[in-house]
Amino acid sequence: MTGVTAERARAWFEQHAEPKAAFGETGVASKADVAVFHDLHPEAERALLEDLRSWHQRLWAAGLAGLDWPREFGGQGLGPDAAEAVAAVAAEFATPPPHELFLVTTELVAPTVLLFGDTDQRERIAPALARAELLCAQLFSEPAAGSDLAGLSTRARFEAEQNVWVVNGQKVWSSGAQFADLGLLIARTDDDAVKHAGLTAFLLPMDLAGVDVRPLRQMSGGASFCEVFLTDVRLPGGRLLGGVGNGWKVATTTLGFERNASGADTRTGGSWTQVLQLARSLGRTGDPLLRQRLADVYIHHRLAEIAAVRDRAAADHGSVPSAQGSLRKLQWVNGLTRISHVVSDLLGPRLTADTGERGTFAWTAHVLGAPGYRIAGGTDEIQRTIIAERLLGLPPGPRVDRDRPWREIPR
Amino acid sequence: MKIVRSEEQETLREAVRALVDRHATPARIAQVADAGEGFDADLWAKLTHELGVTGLLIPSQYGGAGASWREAAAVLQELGRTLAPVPFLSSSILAVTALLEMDDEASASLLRRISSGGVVSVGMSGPSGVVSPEAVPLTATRDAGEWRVQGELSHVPDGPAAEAVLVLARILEGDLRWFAIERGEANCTARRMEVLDGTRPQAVIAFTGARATALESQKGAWDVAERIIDAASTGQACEQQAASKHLLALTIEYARERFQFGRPIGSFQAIQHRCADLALLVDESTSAMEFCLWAATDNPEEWRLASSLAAVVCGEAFEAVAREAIQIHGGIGFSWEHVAHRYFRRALASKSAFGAPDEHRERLLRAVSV
Repeated sequence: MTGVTAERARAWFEQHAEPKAAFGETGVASKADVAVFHDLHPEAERALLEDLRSWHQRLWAAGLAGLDWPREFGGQGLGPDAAEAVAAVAAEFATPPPHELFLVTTELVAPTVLLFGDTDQRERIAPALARAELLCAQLFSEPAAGSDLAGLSTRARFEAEQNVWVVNGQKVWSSGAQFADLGLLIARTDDDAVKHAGLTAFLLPMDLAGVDVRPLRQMSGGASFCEVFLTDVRLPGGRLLGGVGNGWKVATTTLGFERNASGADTRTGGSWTQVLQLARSLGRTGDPLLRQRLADVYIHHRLAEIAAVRDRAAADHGSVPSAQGSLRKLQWVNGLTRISHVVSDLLGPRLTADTGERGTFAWTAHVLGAPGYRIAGGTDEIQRTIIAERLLGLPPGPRVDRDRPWREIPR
Repeated sequence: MKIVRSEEQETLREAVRALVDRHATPARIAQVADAGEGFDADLWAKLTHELGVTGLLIPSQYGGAGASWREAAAVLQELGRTLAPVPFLSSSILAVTALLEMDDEASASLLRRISSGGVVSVGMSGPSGVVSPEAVPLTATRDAGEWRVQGELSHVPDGPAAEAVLVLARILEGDLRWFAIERGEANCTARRMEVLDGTRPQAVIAFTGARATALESQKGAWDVAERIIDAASTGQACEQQAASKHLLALTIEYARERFQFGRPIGSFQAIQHRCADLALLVDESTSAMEFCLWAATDNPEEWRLASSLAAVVCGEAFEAVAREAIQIHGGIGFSWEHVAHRYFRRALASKSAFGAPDEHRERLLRAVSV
């Protein structure tokens, strides 16, 4: 079955894409090759996103995307094995580089809408998201609600006579919100409920009056994220997702998809091959101290691949605890950090100023980006707490805000 | 790579688990280790006669079960989890791996003896413990049609209980060759070494012209030695993974029950986050072990790489888990009475038993042509 899919994929890719150049031929040419977060001019970023979208839609039309998306909603209705078989073939060809907003839309929001949506949302919006015809950003974090996401304070107040929700507040760290058609918004609809219970999810059209999106420049230089100011935004009643008071469940489901996706993403931010190539080009593969650390980069790379095989095998037996995603995210971030360490020591002064040598100073994009993923998608500390409490069954730490109405929590 | 679970493997695991849970209790382990023996002959007899696992990897024509590494892994995990003091790794895995590379009557006869519980060990290193072609400490000469071995082996695993030992020796022409030597031979004396891990005895065995039987293999002698290192690292990976997993579970259980400041200590982030990091190390050990088992059964080209990867990952993870288990248990964890130090001893001893992690990192890089 997967063999047939892979063959069909190969035939299509051979006709429609160029084979990827062997790594030794290209190497690290620019910051983009090793960046953890991209650093693009807004127009270039929009163009990239458009390329990615049209490429994805061509794949969809050829039956090579949406492989594990249900048939009744326009997908192929095959298992994750088929998706992986195609991904493995795709990896041999030159395809458009990834973008956070595209991944958020297709990997996180689309399945969430499919799970929680009403009939119209499932039939109309979810497939459009899966095909990337609509792009949707996450409107989750706020300046005062990061790790404690459930403490967020953007309010949505219902005006029954007009059947609209009036939204006020500020969101932050929303990837690609400046290019999004929709925002998956988590807002507080009940100040008197305990914090998790007072939240509701909405699908917010980003072009409504009162939605002000401002790109936020991060420490690596680019603006991968946005601040989103919501001022008296009047949101039609039918834009609710998953019902009033069910927002926390929607949010954690999306975050669960995120942890699984980030753990599986081996394309972002430097690979074993790139690190090895750097060590070779600098003539350092004979240095016994460095060799020890190179071995660790290799080991991490192999362990990530093996973990993916194990998780898949476990999923086939229906036994993957949701907190497993936190373990994988931590593992992935540890690998990014490890690569940063080795590379910064390998490059030394070449990392502090651009000597013009190809593929050296470019690694600043990695070294300055890697700290971001120890925070994004749930900090390392939050992941450890999830692992400890949900995977290992350690007793929870005291939470003084747990049983109090949100209104009474100090902030 | 493939993850394979067979019914035979699980049935065998249950049988070994039932046996070790009854007979390799912490109290019994302490008794055997503290008496200085480090060998539980009763448990070994039960493994031999009740379960018939000593010849697990040995083909049936030599009295074995003809099973694969998957089944061996189940046994190794159960023995590793409990620190059972039996020579399964040295005799049933290492000696068998070497003997299966040979094609002569002496090897066939040794395989039959292992199947029926005889302990055969393997010795490759001198006092430094380093295993390399240059460091082979023995020489062999041929005298009136008989081979005689000279020199001193050190760190021979389960050496005190071994009735025969397989050795690597340099012959006059400079080549290396494998020999089997009976411990009862004249000019062969063994001395038990004082050991860090009392569940894993080691011996110095000195040969002053002991009579030896040359073993014949298709492969080069050093290639056989490399296979033994692959097997040792794979076997230890199974033991280390199971021991780490078990010890982390014990530690978590303690952190749930131990109250200080009116709360279980496991509710403090300092403990929670440390346990989360250890859980990741144990998970990585599991990946490394699975990689080894897959390579050993289905993909021998990658076995060297996988075995060295596992030697690093499982060895270092076990050490970290054992070290932090002592810390999380606090004072009781530092007592002789508590099991934590026994795992810590096993962790430290096993980490370097068949090449230290830094050597395995090198071996791994060479395996991927770096």
